Amino acid sequence: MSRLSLIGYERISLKKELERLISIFEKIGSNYVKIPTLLQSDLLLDLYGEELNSRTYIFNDPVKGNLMLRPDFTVPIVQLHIKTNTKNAQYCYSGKVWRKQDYLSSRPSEYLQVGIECFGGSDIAKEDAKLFSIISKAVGLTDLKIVTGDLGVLRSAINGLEINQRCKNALLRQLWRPKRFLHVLNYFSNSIHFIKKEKKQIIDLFNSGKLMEKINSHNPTIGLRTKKDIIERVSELSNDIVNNQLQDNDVKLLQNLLKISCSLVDAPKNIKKLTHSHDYLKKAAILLENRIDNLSELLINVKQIDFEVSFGRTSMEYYDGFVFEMGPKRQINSIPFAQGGRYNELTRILSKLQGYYKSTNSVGGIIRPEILHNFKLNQGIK
Amino acid sequence: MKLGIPSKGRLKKEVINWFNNKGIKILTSDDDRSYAAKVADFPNIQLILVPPVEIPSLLLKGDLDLGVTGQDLIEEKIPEWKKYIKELIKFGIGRADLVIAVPEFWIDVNNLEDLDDVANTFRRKMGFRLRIATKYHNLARKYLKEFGITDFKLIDSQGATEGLIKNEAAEVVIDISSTGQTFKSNKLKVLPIKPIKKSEVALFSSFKIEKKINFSDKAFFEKLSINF
Repeated sequence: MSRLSLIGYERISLKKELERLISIFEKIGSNYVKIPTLLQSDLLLDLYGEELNSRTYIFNDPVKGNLMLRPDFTVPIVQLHIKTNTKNAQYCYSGKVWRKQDYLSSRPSEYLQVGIECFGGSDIAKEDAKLFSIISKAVGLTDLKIVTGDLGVLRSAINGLEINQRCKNALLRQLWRPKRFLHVLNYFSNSIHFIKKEKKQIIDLFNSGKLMEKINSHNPTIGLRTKKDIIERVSELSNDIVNNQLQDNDVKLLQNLLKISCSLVDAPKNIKKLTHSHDYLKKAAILLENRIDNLSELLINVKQIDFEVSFGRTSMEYYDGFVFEMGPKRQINSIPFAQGGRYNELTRILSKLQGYYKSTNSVGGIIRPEILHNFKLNQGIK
Repeated sequence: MKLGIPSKGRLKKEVINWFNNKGIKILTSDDDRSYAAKVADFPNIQLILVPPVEIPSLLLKGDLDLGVTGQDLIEEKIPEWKKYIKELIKFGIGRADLVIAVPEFWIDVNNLEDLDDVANTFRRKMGFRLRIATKYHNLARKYLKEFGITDFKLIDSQGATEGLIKNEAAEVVIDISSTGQTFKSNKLKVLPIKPIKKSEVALFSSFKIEKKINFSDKAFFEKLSINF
């Protein structure tokens, strides 16, 4: 996939492709920003955890602390935007990113990205469609495999259920890990079945007011987790048993939603079929309809776009709304040319960390010029 | 041919005894601090005393042809180790398990489900991830990822790991243990689940070794009942 040498025409044409993409983004009013290659790793690791740690190259600088070879542009651009304390803005960038790959993976560990990030805008459906259209037109190819999703659908469904915050948190957190998600569904629909005997004994102690005595028999208490934390957790476990959070209908709804994989134009209809009296989910379906209308207005052929509720569920953790990917048709395991999505929640978290309590809506997309360029060369497209 | 064995302490003695029992006499200097040693009757085999933790990478680089070390260290230091390193024979010594330990008074935590739940609550309350101290970063990360625990971060600890919890520098420990005594002494309990990894000492070779073996080495491997 990646080549060691690009000669003559190929070298010049990749350079031209890169310039072409940047100039498209600039012409529509994006500010080109330069992001350092070395980023402070602590914040990124706290956001994404050990998964990112195992995927990125981290170096120690005795003065500056741990530095990470840029794994993507989005986080530093969001940080940069927050500092400007403005609402609406549009940025573009280009450069290399670095990611460790699995043993024998054919995917490159360093590659170019050209991208755009848009902040502000209150009409989410319209902004999503606009961003998609910018990327689609920049890619400039027809007859592609385009898959879209919307993490907002599952999130709305979960938020709309009549369940406690503990159950919501567990479902939302494990949304990304299908195996664990299934476990959470099972646990909260039949907790008594999953809580083992020794845990039931502890719950009994809690209910008879003897739990503190039991904890005290294990002195000393060490570390930051306190006795109070333990009692609070046992109280929650006790509640899990007494009040089953998820009803059969809830589980069925989530499972049926996850199965939805259809043409984008059929998606709102398929979601509405499952909604019944679920207002949150109706809203998500309406947002989806609005997005489709906006896409059509921008002359995007929506009939050629696929939609999967579970799309983006396993690999795009920082997105929380619309997600998309564009790549060649009929090629298994091919690397997509372009991808992107909405990440309001990420901006909100980063704003809070930087001491700004107002956050802005955010959506962005990237193109991988080497992959796109290679494809065009192979297809004889200039 | 270069053979690396543990350079210090009880493990060094046990490994030398193991070879002696197989009829291979390892001669060490009377000075216990000296790192000089050789294998009697096998002048072709150059014996090198090395910390066990360094043996995996020396094997991988080809600086050692043979090395005696723990299975845990091979697996931790070399991702996909089976593609580069061959395990020739297990020694039956240095048996230990890589396990998860938490404070004894966490009476509500007995398995990974609990740890997942606790990690999430901890992160929401404290504003940072539950800290797990270990020197086995790769094994720990892979294991926790497979299960789906996410709200944690690994803290590097190369020694006295069990003390970090009291120090409030970590909440959980993942470490190797043979008797569990160090955990007990530090008021920690091992989660009563299958260990992350069961380990013992073994003799490893790099795959390149087969081309290097000559006639005089063959007798060495015959004594160990190893066939190439």
